[in-house]
Amino acid sequence: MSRARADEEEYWHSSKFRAFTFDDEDDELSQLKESKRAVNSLRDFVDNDDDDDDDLERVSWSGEPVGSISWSIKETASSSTSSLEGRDSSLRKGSSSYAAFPRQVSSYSLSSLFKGRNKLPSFQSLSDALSDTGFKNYNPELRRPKAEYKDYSNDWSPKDTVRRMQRGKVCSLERFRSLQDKLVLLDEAVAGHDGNVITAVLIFLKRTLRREILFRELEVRQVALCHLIHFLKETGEQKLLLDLLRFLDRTEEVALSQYREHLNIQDVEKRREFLKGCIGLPFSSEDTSHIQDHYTLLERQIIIEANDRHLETAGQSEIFRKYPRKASILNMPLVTTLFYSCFYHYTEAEGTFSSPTNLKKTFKIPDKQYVLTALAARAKLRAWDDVDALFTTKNWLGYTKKKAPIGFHRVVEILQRNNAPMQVLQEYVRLVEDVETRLNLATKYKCHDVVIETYRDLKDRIQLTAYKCKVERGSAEEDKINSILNNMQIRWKN
Amino acid sequence: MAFAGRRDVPEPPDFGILKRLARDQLIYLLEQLPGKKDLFIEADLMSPLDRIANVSILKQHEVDKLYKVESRPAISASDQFCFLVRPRIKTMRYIADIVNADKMSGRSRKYKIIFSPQKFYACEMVLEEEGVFGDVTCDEWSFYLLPLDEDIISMELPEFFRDYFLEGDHRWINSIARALQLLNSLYGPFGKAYGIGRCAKMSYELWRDLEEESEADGQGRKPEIGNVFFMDRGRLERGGQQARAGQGGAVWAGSLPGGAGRACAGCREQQEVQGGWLQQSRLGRAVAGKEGGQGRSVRAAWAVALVADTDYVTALCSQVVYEGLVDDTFRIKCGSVDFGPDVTSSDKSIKVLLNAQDKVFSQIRNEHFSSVFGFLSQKSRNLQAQYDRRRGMDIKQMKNFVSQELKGLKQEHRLLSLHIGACESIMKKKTKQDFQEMIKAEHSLLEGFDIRESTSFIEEHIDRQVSPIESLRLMCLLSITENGLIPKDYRSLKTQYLQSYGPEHLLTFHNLKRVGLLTEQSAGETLTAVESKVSKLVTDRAAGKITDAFNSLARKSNFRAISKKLGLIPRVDGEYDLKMPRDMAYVFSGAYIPLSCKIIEQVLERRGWLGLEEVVRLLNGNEFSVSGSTSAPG
Repeated sequence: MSRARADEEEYWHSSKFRAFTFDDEDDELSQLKESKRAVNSLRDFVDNDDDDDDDLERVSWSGEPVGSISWSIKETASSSTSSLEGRDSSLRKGSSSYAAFPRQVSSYSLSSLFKGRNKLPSFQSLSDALSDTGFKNYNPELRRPKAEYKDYSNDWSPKDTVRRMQRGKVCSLERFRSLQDKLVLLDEAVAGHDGNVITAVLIFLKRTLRREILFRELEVRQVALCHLIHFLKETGEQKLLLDLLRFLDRTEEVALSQYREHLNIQDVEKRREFLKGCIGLPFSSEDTSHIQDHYTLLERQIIIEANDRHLETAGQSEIFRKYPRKASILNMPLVTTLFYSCFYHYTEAEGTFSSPTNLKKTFKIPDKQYVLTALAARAKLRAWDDVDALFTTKNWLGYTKKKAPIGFHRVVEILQRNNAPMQVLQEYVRLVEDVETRLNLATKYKCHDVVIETYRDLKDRIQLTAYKCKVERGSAEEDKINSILNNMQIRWKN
Repeated sequence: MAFAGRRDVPEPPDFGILKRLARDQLIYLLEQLPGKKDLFIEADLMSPLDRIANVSILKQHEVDKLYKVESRPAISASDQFCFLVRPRIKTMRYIADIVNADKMSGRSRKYKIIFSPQKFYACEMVLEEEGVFGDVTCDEWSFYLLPLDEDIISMELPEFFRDYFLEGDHRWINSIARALQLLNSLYGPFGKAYGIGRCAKMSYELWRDLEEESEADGQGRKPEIGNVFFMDRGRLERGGQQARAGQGGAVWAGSLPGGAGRACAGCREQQEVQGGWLQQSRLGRAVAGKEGGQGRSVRAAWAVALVADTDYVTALCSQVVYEGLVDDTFRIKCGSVDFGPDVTSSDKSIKVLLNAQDKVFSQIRNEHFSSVFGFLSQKSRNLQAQYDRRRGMDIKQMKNFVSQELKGLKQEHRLLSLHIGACESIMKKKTKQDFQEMIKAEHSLLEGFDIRESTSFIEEHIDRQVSPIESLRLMCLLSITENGLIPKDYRSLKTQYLQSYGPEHLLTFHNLKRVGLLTEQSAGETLTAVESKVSKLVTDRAAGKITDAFNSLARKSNFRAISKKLGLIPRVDGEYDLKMPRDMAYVFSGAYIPLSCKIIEQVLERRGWLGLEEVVRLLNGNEFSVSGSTSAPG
């Protein structure tokens, strides 16, 4: 036992965290099961009528026991496609009869009824703001109050403009024409803390200033700058965004934001081409190699995919017949690709693109990751010999030994999940170094031999005697326990 | 544990009003478009809407068909379309496409967009650009606050975190201020306001500014909400959704500015830290106990806390109280959860509201998972006994039993079997995932020892492709507790992560670095150089603000110093008694006291920040405390 481990064990024994373990499933679960039985036994009596089930389920318009809003949306979605044709014809009919309707029968605001056309509040449409004064009010009595007129007059200070906009009111920004005025307005907006208003002012500035000047002014206004960058990202104005980032010398962001575009490219060939172009972008050296790997991986996947699809349809290859592929390997992560290649192409020579060793070399996959993945793939195929070979090493004298870059408890876990036969499982449980973990695993998976041998090595007579009741009467295991207990040469510690 | 039995814990104000208000306003808006109409609803508004209205209410107001807003073109014969949406540019384009397609085919319809909770100028700009401005009418549904339970209200704005902390966009601050305005007008002026963090401060200032006009009407009212607590960043909060303060004296409007959870994941917006939220339960009791002891006015002990991402660590640790595990396993959305067939032991799923009305749930929600089994089995024995009483009853007694008790018992029976089913599912899932090992690794990270071992645990977790989100969560916890990863580890974990879960996560890593959740050690010097260079250029009116922009690049976590200062990692001799816990740390099996809760406790106890100067400094300041907040801030 290593020193660190001893420390750690001491810690776990002395500390407060022992109170509850999720591994203690036996005790807790049996308690839970018992409660479940008790409750279920009541079911017959309780379930005779379900009239008050609606405590948990809400009612819908048709009185069906369903009807949350999300539920009925799913319903419309499925029905709308089925009756598509019928709708289409009624749609055409409808369009002719309704075209006669005036377009703006909006009840949006009272004032709109008295105006020549519907006017929605907008802070930035110049034409609207200016032509507003020219409106004829058909009913002079219902003219807007004086204060509202001020919306369109020119005497709001920058501060008041911002305050009004924060309250969702209409304000024309067109009067801020000098650079000085524009900047004061922007600074007021920033000081007002309302991002919505900041963005509104920036939209105005973006429209009325040459970009170099806008960029220059934003460089010293970080908060406003963040808002513009976010706005450009959201509206997808990629070109302007890149120009801005270049101006700011944020080269890494330029690269990342270009690289991000590959997510929108569905066609693999085009995506591969695009990624190739990304390699030269100004990433950090570390990221450049990730991008390079991304490109190489996709390139490989395209080759493997084409080959394997051919193999599969030809029906010549046994493995593809036995285990048809569930999905294409395109755009999958490297580890998934490695798993795939360990599954379908394990025995291939290093020269082929699809062989696991080739992948391992090309992408410098660490031993640990390689072994975990190969193990999972081979265990899934129940190729126990391959599993064996994965861990067997020969020393210079020709003796074989089992070694693993991961803990053997992990190996056991993976084998167990793939229903490995007892003798295979047992062999690896035996290799688990930590005694307590070994005992736990052996007990959990009923590897009796390992349990018995471990207790013998621990010279723990009490535990060994107790274990006798866990093995079958008259079995070889029981004999083994008995012979050990009767062995006079062992100096029991208890 | 129930409210009623505790004198020191006041009844919460009636938050049901918020729901009624929201419903009435929605109905009003729907009536603004008279006649039959189809309603298009944005996906993430559906769960909140479900809590406010049901299909029959919509139907009563002439909603014909319901659709989800998505990129599929709409096929409908209706003459009127109503869109209930978040103010997003993508959605505006979707709507504009529908309108333009109709125009092309000579179809005329009426269109109405209802923005929730408010409209953004940028959205109108898109409508104008697309040439549909004027063809559509716009309205706002001021649905700022959703009561999730008797004692918890939430803004349900998951995008807040990403927008503010990653992109530096202040667009939601106005919404927060308006939500405060709403609370203030409904429940009387707040007794006292405390806050920490820049976002908190800005929200407070904007709210005060909005309030100035409508002053006076609130005067002379009896305050129902005593303390308001604003908090943000500082780096510790259980983000996710809502922070629940349990039976105590606090309302947590956690996701007011919350939503740290859904955070900053990169390319595909996958969630990086799942937002469980329930950790703070003990806080309520702790705080309330003290308030009561000091004999403060009962009503005034109610507090509102606005918590943003103040406490990442809390958000990053595995949850071990019942409600938290239910959230982890089944995902609680707006206070309700879908239990699948494996829980209901039938072939259908059931949607269940998880709140104080559920008598079984309300008793176990805040308990450590280990105490839950005992409770449930006790409860089922009692139930059995009550049913058994019917044996040997005469006709009259039986009649009584059936008419008076049976319904209640049946209800309890159903709840009990649901929660037992849920516990089973949780156990099954957690034992499969080596949860035990994960918790062990988390605890080592919190205590700051055996870092190498935890690092290799994380590495193996990644290599085995266990879960992309859990892997990130552990890496972030490592980064925050250790003040960043050492460069060698950072590189190797990042490389392996990209190999396991996909190279495009390069973008995820970049985003996490920017918000300071996952960083590399010792980039410090270069950064200071850039910072000072830029500072020279700065003419920002509030010059100090530049630092904030850089903070997002170089937030140092100070986790060790803060937890030492506030005693967040309890030193206990012997075993930590989870059934009778001595402090809030029980929510993490005794390993960590949630920072945000501790701060609230401390500040309320001290009635201010006095004596907490060092903590405040470590949290980057911006603290304030204002009493009688209807008067000018001081």
